Formats: sequence, structure tokens, C-alpha cells
Amino acid sequence: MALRVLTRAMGSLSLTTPAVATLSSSLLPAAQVTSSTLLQLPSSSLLLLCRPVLTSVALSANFVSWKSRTKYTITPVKMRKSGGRNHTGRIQVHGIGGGHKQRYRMIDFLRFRPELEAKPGPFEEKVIVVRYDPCRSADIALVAGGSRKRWIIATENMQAGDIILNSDHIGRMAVAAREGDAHPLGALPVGTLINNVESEPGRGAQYIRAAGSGNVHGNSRPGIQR
Amino acid sequence: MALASGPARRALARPGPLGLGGCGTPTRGAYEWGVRSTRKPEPPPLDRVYEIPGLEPITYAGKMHFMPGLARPVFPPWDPGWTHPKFRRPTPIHEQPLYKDRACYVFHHRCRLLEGVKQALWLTKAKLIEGLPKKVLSLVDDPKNHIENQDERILNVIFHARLWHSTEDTPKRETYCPVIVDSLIQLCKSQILKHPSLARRICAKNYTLSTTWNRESFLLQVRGSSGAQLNTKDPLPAIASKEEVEATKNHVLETFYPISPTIDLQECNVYDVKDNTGFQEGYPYPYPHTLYFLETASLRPHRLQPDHLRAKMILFAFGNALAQARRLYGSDTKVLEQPVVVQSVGTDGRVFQFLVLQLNTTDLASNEGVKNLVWVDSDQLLYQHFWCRPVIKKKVVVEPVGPTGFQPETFRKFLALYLHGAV
Repeated sequence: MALRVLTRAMGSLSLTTPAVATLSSSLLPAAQVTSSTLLQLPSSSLLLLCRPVLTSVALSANFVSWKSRTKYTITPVKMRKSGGRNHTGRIQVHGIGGGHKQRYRMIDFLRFRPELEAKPGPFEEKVIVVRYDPCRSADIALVAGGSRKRWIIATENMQAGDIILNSDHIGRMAVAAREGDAHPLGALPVGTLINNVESEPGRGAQYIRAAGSGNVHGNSRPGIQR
Repeated sequence: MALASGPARRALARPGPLGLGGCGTPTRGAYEWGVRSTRKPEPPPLDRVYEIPGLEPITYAGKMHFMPGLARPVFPPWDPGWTHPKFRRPTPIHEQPLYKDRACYVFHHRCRLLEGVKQALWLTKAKLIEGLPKKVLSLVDDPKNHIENQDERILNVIFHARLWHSTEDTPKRETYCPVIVDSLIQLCKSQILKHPSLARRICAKNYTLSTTWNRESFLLQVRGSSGAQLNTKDPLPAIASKEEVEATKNHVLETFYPISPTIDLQECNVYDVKDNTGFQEGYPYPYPHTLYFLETASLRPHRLQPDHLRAKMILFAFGNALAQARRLYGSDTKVLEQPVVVQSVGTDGRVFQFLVLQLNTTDLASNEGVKNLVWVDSDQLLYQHFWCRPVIKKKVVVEPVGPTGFQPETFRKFLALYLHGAV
């Protein structure tokens, strides 16, 4: 009788790959193998004929930059720290992260930016207050000219109440430069200590913006000989 | 040109990012706020077919699906025929009915002027005098004007406002500041029995004010509502004599170059020029007497600094006086025969600022001529500090509950300003 059951079972079995055979044998416990050999084949073929389905998927990086404000303002703006992560969400630079929460004050690095396009000449501004900026090593100064206020990088001896000049004029004689004024490099005498330098006129300051070492209050004073 | 290849040819062909900009213009401008990834993407440009005038482009609009060779159809914006009140857009500024080309600089109750009192004086063409006028100071010292048990009653008022009035341990400024001002006015009103003409007054809250004037090519406007206003049936008499008024002709207003006098004022192109005193014609109490300004914000950055508060008091008192003068004497600019006097008290519950403004002239366009007069008494403490809970060190009460550094002088000035005009 066992042989008859076995031959009936053997007759119903067809040639399958060893992987499927092992799979089918491992699906059910060994005690029930003989009785349910008939049922194994349809399930394994169903498994064979099924389209593979993904049951898990990797998360995509939802990175939106916090720099969405298009209009200039002097009020501090909330910012999000990067922690060294780039737009994919992975660490690109190690060692960055943590620290006190900061708000960003929008700094105007293009000093010669006349308020009204109608009056293009050099203009003066008054320093209202010099304060600490958590986002950079240098202090920043709130200056007001005409009817607009803006933040700029403060130089070492800048105090509230100073008048600073922003000019784009290059004359025949070199200008007697005062601290805090902004002139084209061609108008300054050789040997003046400068900071917040732009590589071409209208680009905005990109070089020499950090604070000097020692007492923290001001900008560094590198000497540039021309 | 033929020998150049690849990047060199591109560099020669279009001056741009590779450093060969045109003469004077930078290859890249200064930083523009807002990174490109957060800006809204531009709509795709129209097909070149639309640039040819008179030609009707063949689009795939009829086919109801995209077709590679045909032009992209341009549909008119869909007008659903109705707008949900939640999602109504305001009409563009240029199409609003009150739009004007000339910009108007509006001062409202939240403006903080950068130069403070100096800027307010320039805007109102006024001369500042420290200290209250002698007439008012004589009322302060006169013992006939004092209330019986005055000091005791004021201490009760302070206790009530700062401690007893609410069930919290330490009431906030929003609660105690209006209570203290209302109680002090109530104390002043108790003098009606001695001076019956005090009954010809009324206290109004939530008033609106709007006046416009020209000041050296700027159009200025004061608008808004703030605090309480005391109105009377009879106007206040002029304080400064004619000689003093004439003497102000020699006074030169302080300018603050390079800052423009309209800094921190709201610039708008949609405005209405009419004067509004806040009350209709035929109101039984037409003359403004005193304005009360309360600084009720609990957080210090939200409160106005004393300098800004004084500037706001000057401008609102001036606005009231100007509206009154225009109502009485017409809107032409001239030197007033009967100057209009308006008083003002500003407080944050502890520190008081007193102000008396005399409007001598409505000719504000030029910088010369007669100026208006402003008497300011600033930073008068009513009490230095109030302990809501006693300070106990080593089981000994060091500071009891109550105010420290109480100055009765401040309330006497408050009372004098209240009685001025009726005594």
C-alpha cells in the first residue's frame, strides 16, 4: 500500500529543478510530505509564474533648501543647519553638526548698491549699531542711507554713529582712505589695508571677509601691495 | 576662428561664464537672494510660431492629446464665474481705485522711527522743550488740586492693578497696564466735585485718526488707532505766548543726513487723502484733550522703546491737532491765530511719558517760518519695581510685597495734565 501511494505520488510528480524540489520540501514539515505532495506542485508553479513584487523601497531625499526668501530684509531669518549632509541626504563633509540654533541676518556684500537707480553717484551711509553675528566670525553693522537699512561686515574700529562712504569713482589722485569706506581698488593708494574684496566690479565681496585673530571685534587686516 | 575648437570656440562665440565678459559688466552679478532650487520654475516659453504676426498656428488642441509636430496651444485663463470667499485674490495695485502715482509715507501705531524723537520733530516741524510748561507745573504743586489721601489711594491702585486684580500670581502687562491707567483716570475724575467743568469731558477708546500733510516734497500721513482719548466740549487754551511763537522762527530743525526723514515709514501708493478726526460732525465733545498710549506687550522686543513711544506720541498728537485745526479753520496752510493744544500720556504700566503739543502753523511744506512747540517730560517712574511675592532670605522678609521706589510726583503730573483746561 505504501508502494502504491508512493507510485501514485511519483506518477504525479514531474521533472522540476532541484531548487524548486528543495523549496517545496522545505515548505511543509517532513511528516506531511507524502500526503500533500500532490498539493505542492500547483503552489510551486504558481510561485514560478508570479511576477516578482517589491515589498520595500528606499526613501528618497526630501531636501528643500531653506534659502527661499527672495526679498531683502534686516530681520533675522530662520535657517536650517545642514549637518554636513548634501541634497542626497548623505554626509558629504564630516565633522559638521550640532551647535546653538542660529538665525541668519542677510548681509549685503555689494557695498556700492545705490538705493535708487536714478541717482548713480557715490553716497554716504550712517552706522546705526555694530553687533555680533552667530553665522560668521566677523561682527556686522547695521547701516542706514536714504530710506533703506542693510547689514554689512563691520571693520575693526567701526562704531555707532560713523558715516561711511560708498563710491565707484576712480579719480586721477588716490583717495585718502578712511576706515569703513568702500572704493574701487584703482582709487586707493598702494599699501592700504583692505577687506571685503570683489574680483570684478558688481560681483559682490567674496574675499577677505573673516575676522582677525586676537580680539574678536573686527575684520582681519591683510596688507595688499599693488 | 576656424582654428579654435570646443570650449575655446564657445568662449569666443559667447562672452559669459568663462571669464571673458563685456567691458565693465561682471560675468556674474552679485548674489541674488533665494537659491534657484527654491524659486518657482518659469512657465515654458511659447512656440516660435506665435511670434509671426497674422499666422494662425496649428495646435493639437482639437486632437485632445500631444502631437510632436504641432504647436503648443495657448488657452485663455479659465474663469469659473464665481470665487470662493476664502480664495479671493485682491485686485492688482495698479487697478485699485485709490491708486496714485505719488507715494505716501504712512505712520501707524506699529512704526518705530530710526531716529526717534528727532525724526518726529522734523516730520511735524516742531521745536522740543524739555519739561512740562510752567502753567501745568503750577497745577502740579498747588495743594488745592490734590486728592485727599492721594498717596494712599495711588498705592491701592498700584496694588490692585499689579496684584489684586487677577487670580494669577504675577499678572502680565496686558492685564495690569490698562487697569492701572483706567484706575488713575478714575481717581482724577473724583475731582469733579471740586471742579464741575470736569464733567464736560468724555473718554473714547478705539478711535480712528487720519490726516495728511506735505513736508518738503514728501506726502506724510498719520493713520490708526491707539489707546484712549479724552475729548472735551471746550478747547485747551494756548500755552506759549505770541512772542515765544514768533521766536521759534529762528529755530533750525535738526536734520540727520545721510538718513532720509521718511525712513521706517510705510510707503504706499494706495491711499485716501481725506482728514478724519475719528468723530462725526455735531459730536457734543469735539475737542481732543489728552491721548493715552499703552504699551501692553509682555515681551520686551514687542514693546516700543521709550524713544519710539515718545515719537509715536508726538506724531499722533500732531495728527489730532492738525485734523482739528483743519476742521475749525479750513484746509489752507497758514499760521494759526488760536493755536491748537493737545496733550498726551504714554506708559507701559510703570514708566510714564508726558507730552504737550501746541500747533502754531499748518504751513508745513517749507522749513522756515513759525514752528510748532512740544513740551516733553520723559521717563517718569511711578514706582521702581513691584514685588508680587515677598523676597525671603534666611526666613527674614527682605522685600515685602508691594512697590519699591514709589514717586508721588508722577501722579501729580498726571493729575495736572488731566485738570489742565478745567481748573
